[in-house]
Amino acid sequence: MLSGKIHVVVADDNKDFNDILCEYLNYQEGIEVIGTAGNGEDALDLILSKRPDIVVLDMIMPKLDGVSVLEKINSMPLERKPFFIMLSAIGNEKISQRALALGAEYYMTKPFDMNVLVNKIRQLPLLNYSVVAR
Amino acid sequence: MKMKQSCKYKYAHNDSLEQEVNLLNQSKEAFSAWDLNGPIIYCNKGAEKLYGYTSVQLQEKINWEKRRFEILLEVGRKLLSSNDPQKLVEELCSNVMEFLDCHIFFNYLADEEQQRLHLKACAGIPEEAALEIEWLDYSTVAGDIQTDFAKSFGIKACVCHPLIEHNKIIGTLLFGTRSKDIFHEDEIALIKAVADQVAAAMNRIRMEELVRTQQELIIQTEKNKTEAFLREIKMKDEFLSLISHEFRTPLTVINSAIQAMEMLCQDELSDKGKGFLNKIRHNANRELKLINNLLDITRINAGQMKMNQTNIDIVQYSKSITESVTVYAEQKHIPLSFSSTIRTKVIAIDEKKYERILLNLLSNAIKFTPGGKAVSVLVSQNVLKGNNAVCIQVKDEGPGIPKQKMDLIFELFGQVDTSLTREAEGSGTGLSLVKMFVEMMSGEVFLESEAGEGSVFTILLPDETIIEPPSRQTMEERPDQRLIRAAALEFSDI
Repeated sequence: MLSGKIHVVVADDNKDFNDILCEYLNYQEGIEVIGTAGNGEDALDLILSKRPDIVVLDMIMPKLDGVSVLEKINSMPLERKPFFIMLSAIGNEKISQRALALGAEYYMTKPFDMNVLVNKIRQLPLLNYSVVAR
Repeated sequence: MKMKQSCKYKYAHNDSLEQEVNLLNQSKEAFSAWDLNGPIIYCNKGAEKLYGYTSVQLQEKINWEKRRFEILLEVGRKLLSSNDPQKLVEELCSNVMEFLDCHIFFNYLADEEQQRLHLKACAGIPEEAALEIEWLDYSTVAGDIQTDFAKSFGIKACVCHPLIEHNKIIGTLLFGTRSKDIFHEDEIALIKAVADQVAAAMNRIRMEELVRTQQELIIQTEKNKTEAFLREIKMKDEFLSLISHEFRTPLTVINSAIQAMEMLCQDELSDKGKGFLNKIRHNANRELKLINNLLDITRINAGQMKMNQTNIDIVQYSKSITESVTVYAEQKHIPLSFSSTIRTKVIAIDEKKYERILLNLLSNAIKFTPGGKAVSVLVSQNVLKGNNAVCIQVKDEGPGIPKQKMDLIFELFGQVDTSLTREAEGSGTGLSLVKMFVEMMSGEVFLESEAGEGSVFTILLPDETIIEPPSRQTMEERPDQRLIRAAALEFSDI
């Protein structure tokens, strides 16, 4: 957040959705999408190289699914981990609970109100890291 | 009688036994004396003449009869109680062999598949030799071959008896001896009796086996059917889940594109363009509602639907939900009212599921009620299965539901009207989902309706609270926001 903007990485295997989401988020004041990925591996690379504040992560993706990305991040000794907002077209409670257990902050079932996502992105970095159970 | 007379005589005169025997020996009348256990102890000349046997022969005859009787009794008893007749045939035949002083025995059974006789058991010949006569053709005279074969082992006399079951030969029993040239009539009769009993027992066991096999076949068929059915259900559920996901993905793109257009291109859109965009959104919501319902039904059927119960003021919550759809009622000029006989009531419900239930009932009520007529929601206290319950009723002034359709209405796709002239659109998933959700919350839902009089849907939920687990606030969308979205979805097909 050096530029004063919240840095977001968006990872979803549907390119159309990725494009729309990036446009929508970049249009919002104080939010900047610094990278997009179409699969879990690229998402992981982006997270490690660009160190975003927030990751909007689809659950079902090629190469590495959302839960696996969370597991990999958890296994790494990162100084500061981003907040994860999970997206899924299947509202499977088992998977959402697993994602939450792995430290994801929020879970949204597609399709969703994009304003809710924007509000969430704005709220999360305001949370004190030490208070949030992760 | 005579013996009794002689006994009376003996005791009356107190003579010595010797004198008495002499007396009986001289008598021309027939006298015999029997031990109570069976053996003959005395037989005079007259008796020998009468029976046609000497006393020694008579004794042998009696012993033979006794043993014959024992064998037949044993055969009958064992064959009736056993499920392994072959083992018993061998055991019994070795008893018969010993009794009749036989040295060889063969037991053949007809093999229907091979259309030949198969040697099932034998005694008195080496194993390698038995292999030579293991199979005999039906066409050959089986008895002759067996007899000839037996003779090659020094056997002098043979009895070969068929095992007959329902006038059909199912096998043979052959006994052979080296110690005599011929079998006595009694011996042949005994072998016949044994053979008949063995055949009867085999018949019984074969019938039992037949019944058992058929039972197993029926059980297996039923099992296969159930397995296939479960597989089919699982495949159907997996398919529905997959297809729902596939349906949702493009809808997500459509939905987000509409939101992006409204946000990013608002100034560029004409009123006409905005009107078209509204139509797209409305219909995308309709499609989404159907897919959500299908996915939820699939999940419930697969046992994957979880309950997230919290303690909520059901009166206030029902009021909020009702108020959230006022705008849709007003569009149709339908006065929508809410009333409650209780001010407040906190019970444990799954908030989202209850929201879906009430929204669905309200959307149906508003959909089927013509403009100018009213829809109302009433909350009151009631009883469910002898316990306190909260009663939520949605009353409409629509056309009512005919009796023959009332049973079907909560069934999946029960509301579907496939006629080309159907008046109301609908997939028939909404009410079945309402029922499933209500039942998941241990409640009941029922319908009262009369054609032309409108309908009343009643939900009874148990008046119970739970100890709530701590919840993570960050996870939940604000309920008012969610309610607006849920209502938009539920009322998409008004």
